[in-house]
Amino acid sequence: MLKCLAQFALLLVVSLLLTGCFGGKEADDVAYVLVMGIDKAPGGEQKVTYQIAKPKGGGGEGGSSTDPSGMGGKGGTEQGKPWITNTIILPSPGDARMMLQSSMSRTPNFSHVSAVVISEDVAREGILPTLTFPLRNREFRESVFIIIVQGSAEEFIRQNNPSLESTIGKFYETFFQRGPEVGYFLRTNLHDFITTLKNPGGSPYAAYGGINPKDGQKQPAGPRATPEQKGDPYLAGGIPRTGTENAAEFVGLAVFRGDKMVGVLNSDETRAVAILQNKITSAGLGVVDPLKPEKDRISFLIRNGDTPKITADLSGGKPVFNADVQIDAEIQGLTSGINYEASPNKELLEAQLSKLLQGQITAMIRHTQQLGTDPVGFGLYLRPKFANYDELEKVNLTTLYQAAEVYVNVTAKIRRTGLLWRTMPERFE
Amino acid sequence: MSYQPGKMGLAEGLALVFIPTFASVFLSLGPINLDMAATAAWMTPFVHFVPSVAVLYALLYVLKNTTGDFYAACQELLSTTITRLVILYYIGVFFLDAGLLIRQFAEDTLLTALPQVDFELITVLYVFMVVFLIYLGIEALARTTYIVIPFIGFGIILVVGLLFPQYHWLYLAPWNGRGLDKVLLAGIKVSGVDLAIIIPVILAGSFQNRRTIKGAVLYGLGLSASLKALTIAAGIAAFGVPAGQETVLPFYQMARLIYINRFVQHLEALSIILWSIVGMLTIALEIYVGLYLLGRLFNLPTFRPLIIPVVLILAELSMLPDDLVSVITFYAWAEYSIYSAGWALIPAVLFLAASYRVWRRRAC
Repeated sequence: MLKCLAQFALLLVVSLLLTGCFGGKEADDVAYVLVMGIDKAPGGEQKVTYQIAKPKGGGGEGGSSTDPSGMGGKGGTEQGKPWITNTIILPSPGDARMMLQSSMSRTPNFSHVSAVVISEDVAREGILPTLTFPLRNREFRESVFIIIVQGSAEEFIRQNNPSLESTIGKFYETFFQRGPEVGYFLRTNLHDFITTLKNPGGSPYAAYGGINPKDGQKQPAGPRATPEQKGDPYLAGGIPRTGTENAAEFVGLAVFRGDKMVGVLNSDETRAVAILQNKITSAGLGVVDPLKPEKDRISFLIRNGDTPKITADLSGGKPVFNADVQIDAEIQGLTSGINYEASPNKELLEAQLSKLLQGQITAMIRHTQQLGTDPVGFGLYLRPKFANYDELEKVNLTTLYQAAEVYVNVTAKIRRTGLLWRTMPERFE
Repeated sequence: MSYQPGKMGLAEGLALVFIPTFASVFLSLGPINLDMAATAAWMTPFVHFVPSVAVLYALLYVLKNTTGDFYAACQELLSTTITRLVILYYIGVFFLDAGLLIRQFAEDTLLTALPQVDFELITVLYVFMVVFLIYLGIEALARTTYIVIPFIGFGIILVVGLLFPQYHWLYLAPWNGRGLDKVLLAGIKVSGVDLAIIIPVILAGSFQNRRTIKGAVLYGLGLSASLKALTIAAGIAAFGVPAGQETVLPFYQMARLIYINRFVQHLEALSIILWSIVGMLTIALEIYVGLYLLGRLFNLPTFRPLIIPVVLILAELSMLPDDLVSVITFYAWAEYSIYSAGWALIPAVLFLAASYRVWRRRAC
């Protein structure tokens, strides 16, 4: 009997010990950091901006029970938004928690950081020293988005006031989930960046963001890569728009050699990277009408028809890459009234689209070879060509990519024509 | 002897081999394998599976030509003094491994799940569970482990499967790593991780017959090698070699990396439960085997009074190293050197002695 009692008591003690609540903190003891911004500060220090969730009824001038987010409150420049910002000049990331803690009543917690926003100035000097802290710290998740912005990261964070999302974390999550539907920006998280940086083959890249002046002025990022394309390429901050929506936007790709940013790819080049990486699920595209090129255009919805077949050859010493890309297209709009849905116009239009995409992809490859960066990861296809890993470690695959000949062949097929299967001639009596 | 267990079958034996040979996949040996075999590190579990099977057959031959278990075989084939030295060596190795595992699993729990808790308290929790498991006895321990194995297998396959979107298959190229010769050498060098194949032979008296032992080791080690190879290959495909070499806990990092959508992501909490259970069972098993040998060596009627003092001493000793990095480095070194002697050298000596004995019998 005594033995049974002792065993029962033992089980009770074990069940108490296994609750796993050691060192737990209540949610209202913690300040959840949602976004971090990194800028340069004088004296080699860093200016770090923390965007912190402001829970319902917490801080500021009192919470608003009518706030649809349910996390209302007013304060600072983020009036009515469920967050606060706090910018601190830090000697090292390790001091962050202490200095942040000294300016707030709650313990900062980094487990919900959804994005690290880094200014272009910092990125051009190298971001690995900045990323080693979140990489080693268990509170940070490797799914944290890495974003490079024009100008100041602090300014970007302050100006980024999404009106459609209730929380800033959801804004970044939703935005970057949509990347494959657009192709104008690509998401990169901490894991992608670090593994691409450390592994031979491919170069890291990150989404490129900026603040749009919303003055409706056209600021193209450069000339069109091919005469077949209708629209101009853009970079973040350059889209001609006005209105009341958020000034922050993501267009383009910050590309790196090692951990240093070496340039920016515009919207068309970014889409070319996405196509070669098989990351396009549906992207809109405007093409000059091949039979009425003066004013008419055709709108397409495109996607990768198949995984691009990239092959590499190193037998001649100089790498040669062949990229065979299949694109499935759907006609979304025709302004000329010409029946492009059937032969022979259909083939003409397919050739026009193929030529456009081939030109854009080739231009992107030329640009990245000049910059000395390999965002597509062509170098990965060279890896099986080496006898062993020791041989692979001796060469710089990015340098090989720079010297490579790359042949691109795009085959676009019009698979669908929207809700209309043919275009009948207009009759104006 | 009250610590002499009853008859265990194939399932229990399989569990006793699987769990200690598999536990290292949750620790830092994977990244160390990457140093030697690079992209072909996933082949190393299969490489040391082959000589481990040879060692098994050598030990089965020894058991066939002697009476009783490993201890009795040593006594018959080697002198009593050498037997004592051999048994002391195995006691030392199993206790050493248990101590190193206590430290690593406690540190890893601190690092991943309970960062605010004192390290000593986490060690006490492990000690508590280990003592509890040893008190239950080897049959209960083996059957608990057997029940846990499907969950471990499912957990591993779940993590590897859900990580699919993160794979870069070309990170596995060049397919032969640093060269097949170096992969073979690396595989042989790390074969000390299969030391646990000797456990069913040590506990031979507890098994039904030699065929049960053979089946247990073959299935247990085969399952362990296959799951280890799968996990290492998945880790390389997700992290690549250089990033993989840096990680302390590759499996935890893999589970942490899962991202299917906003609702299915970061399954590391489940993986922590998985490896802490594996850790507790492995530590308990290794201490049990050490205590069993201690009982045999000193012909003790029972080793139960020794459980708490031994576990506490091991836990105290495990806290001696200054830092985790030196523990990981020493653990890798021990696997390659100290454990290899128990895995290959002593079984080889026993096999030669048994062969000589058989040859002499035939000659006479």
